[in-house]
Amino acid sequence: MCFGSPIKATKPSEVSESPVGSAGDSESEVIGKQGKEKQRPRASRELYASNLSLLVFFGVGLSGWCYYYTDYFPEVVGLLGLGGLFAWLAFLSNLVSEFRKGQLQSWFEEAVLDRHHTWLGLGLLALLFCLWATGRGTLELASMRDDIDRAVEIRSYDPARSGWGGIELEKALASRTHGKYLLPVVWGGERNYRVKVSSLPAQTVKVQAWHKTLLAVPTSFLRRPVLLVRPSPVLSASLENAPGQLIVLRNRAPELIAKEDPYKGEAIWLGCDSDVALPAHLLDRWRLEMAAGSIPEVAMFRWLHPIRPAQEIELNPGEEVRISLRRSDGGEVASAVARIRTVNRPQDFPQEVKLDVPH
Amino acid sequence: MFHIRRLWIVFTFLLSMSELALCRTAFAKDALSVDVQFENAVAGMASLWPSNEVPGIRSRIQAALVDHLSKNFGPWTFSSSQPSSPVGLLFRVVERIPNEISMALELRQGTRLSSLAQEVWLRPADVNLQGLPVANQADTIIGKGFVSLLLERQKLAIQQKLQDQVPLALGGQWNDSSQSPQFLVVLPLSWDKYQQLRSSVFRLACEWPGHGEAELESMAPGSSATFKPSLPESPYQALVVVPQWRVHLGNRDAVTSTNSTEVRQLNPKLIFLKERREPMLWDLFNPGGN
Repeated sequence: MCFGSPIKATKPSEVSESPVGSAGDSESEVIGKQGKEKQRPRASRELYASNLSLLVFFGVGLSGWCYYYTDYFPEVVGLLGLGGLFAWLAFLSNLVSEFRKGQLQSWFEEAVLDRHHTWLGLGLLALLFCLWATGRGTLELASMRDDIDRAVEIRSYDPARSGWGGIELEKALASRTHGKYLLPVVWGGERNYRVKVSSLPAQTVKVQAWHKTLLAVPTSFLRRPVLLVRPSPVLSASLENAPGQLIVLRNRAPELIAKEDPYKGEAIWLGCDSDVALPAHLLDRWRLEMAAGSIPEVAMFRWLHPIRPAQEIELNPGEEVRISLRRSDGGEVASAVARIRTVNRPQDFPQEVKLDVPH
Repeated sequence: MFHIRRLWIVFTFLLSMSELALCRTAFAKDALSVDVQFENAVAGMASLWPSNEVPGIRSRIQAALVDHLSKNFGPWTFSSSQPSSPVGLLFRVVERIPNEISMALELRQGTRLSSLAQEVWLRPADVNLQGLPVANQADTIIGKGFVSLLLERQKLAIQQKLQDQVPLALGGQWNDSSQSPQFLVVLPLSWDKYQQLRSSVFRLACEWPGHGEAELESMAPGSSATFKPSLPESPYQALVVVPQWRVHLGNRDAVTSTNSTEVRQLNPKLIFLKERREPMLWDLFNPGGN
C-alpha cells in the first residue's frame, strides 16, 4: 500500500504536463527538478547508513549461510544477478525506462532506507530466520574420491515408531563432487538420520542444529562393521541342491538376530543392505583363492550377488556372532564364530566369514 | 629279512584261516556269503545328509551293489545282511585330498582290510561346481558310481582278486576210500547251485597236522557226491574235486597213488576258485557225470 503514492505521483503523463518541465529537457533533469520541487525532510545520514549496513549485513549473512550450509548458493547468486530463472526479470527490467528505475530507487530509499522501522523489521526478519535455522542441520556428502555416480536416500529416525521414518530426501550424487542436505532437527538439538548411498552400507549419522556433518563417499560408509558370510564353493553348490537354514546368533547369551530358511548357499551380508557392491579387493582375493585351488572361476557366481536377512541387523565392534548352518532336520553342517572388528581402513571392509563342510 | 617276510605271510594266512574257521559251523551247509557294506567316509557329505535318512541311503546303495555283484561276479554269494560273515566287501567313498572324492573297494577278512580297487570319483573342480551328492539323490549317484567306476571298469582285476582271496566255501570232506577207489574231496557246494563249476579248478587251503599249512590244486571232474554236514543239517549232493597238486612250503608235488595216504591227512579248510572253466554241454552225459 505504501508503493502506491510515489509511483502515482510521478506518472509520465503528469510529468509531461508539469509546468516545471519544458521541451528539450532530459528525463533526468526533469526528475532532478521535480525532486528539488518535492523535497521532503530526509532522514538523517546515520539512519540511512545504519539501515544500509543492516541490509548489507543481513544479505551477506544470508548468502554466507546459504553458501556454508546448503547447495542453494548458486541459485541465490543467480537470483541476485538476475540469471537463470530470473533472466526474464532482467529482460523486463531493461524495458523499464531509466526514469522509472530512478523512481523505484528513490521510493526504495524513502520507504526502506530512510525509515526508522527498517532496522526493526530487518532485526525481526533475522531473528525469525535464526529461529528457523536453529531447527535445521546440514549433512554434507563429499564424493571427491569416488568414481561412481550414486543415489542418496536419507531417512529420519522416528522414536515413536522405534524405527526409521519415511524418506526425507532422495537425490543424486555425482562422482567427484559434494552435496549438502539441509535436514530438520530437534530445535537447537540433533536428530539421527539413516543415510543410504547406493552400493554402500547405510550409515547412521547425528545431524545437529547450526552444524555441518561431513561424510566422505565411500570411505565413511565403509567404516560400518559388516560381516559377509561366504560358504565354500562345495558347500554353496551342495546347498543349491538341498537348501539348509542359516542361523545367526549374537553374543554368548544367544540372541537370534537372523534366520535364513531356506538358504541356498549364496553369500550373505550381515549388517548392510543387499545392494552393497562387493569391493574390488575382495573379488581379487577370491579369484586368487580360486586359482590356487584349481577351482573354476564360475563357482564365484553364487557369491556375486549377496543376499541379506529379512530383518535389519546392526553390528557393533566387540560383539561375538555365531553363524550356524543347519540341515533340514536341524543337524549342524558347518559353523563359524566371528568377533566384530573395528573397521579402520576401507581395505578391511567387509569382515569375511567362511563356512565349509568338514574335511 | 626274507625269512621275516615269509613268516609274516604265513602268520597272516594262519590268522585269516583261524578267523574264517571260527565261522565254519555257520556256513557248513552252503557256500560262504560275502557281506557287502557301504561306508561314507567323506565327512562333508555325511554332514549334509539328515541323520534319519542315512540308514535308508546305505541300504539302497548296498542293495544295488549286491544286485550287480550277484549278476556279474559269480559264483560267490553276496548279501548285505550278513555283517557277521568272515569275508566282506566294503565299498567306501573317501576324501584323501580335500575336495577330491574317491571310491574304494576293500576286502574284509575277519577284521583285516585290504584294498581291491580305488578310483578318483569326483575331482575338486567337479565338487566345487556340482557340490556333494545330497540325500535325495545320493543312493542313485553313488550306486552308479561304484558300478561304472569300479565294478565295470575293473571287473577282471576284481574278479581275479576275489578268486585269490575270497573263499567260496569253508571246509570239505574226503570221500570214503573204502567205498570208492577214486581219490576225491567233496566240497560244501551244493550241486544244484554250483554245477556250473563242475569243470573248474579249485585251490583248497588245508591244515596238515604236524606240517602246518598246505594247498591242494584240484579239478572238478564234473560229478557230485554226498556231503555230510554236522548235525542237525541233512546231507546233500555236492560238487567234488580231484586233488592234482599239493603245494607245501613252496614245493609243488603231483598227487599220486604213492603219496595219496599222506595227502589224505590234509584237512580242507578254505575252498578258493582258482580258475573258472565253463563246462561243455555234453559233460553231464560223460561217464562219471551225474
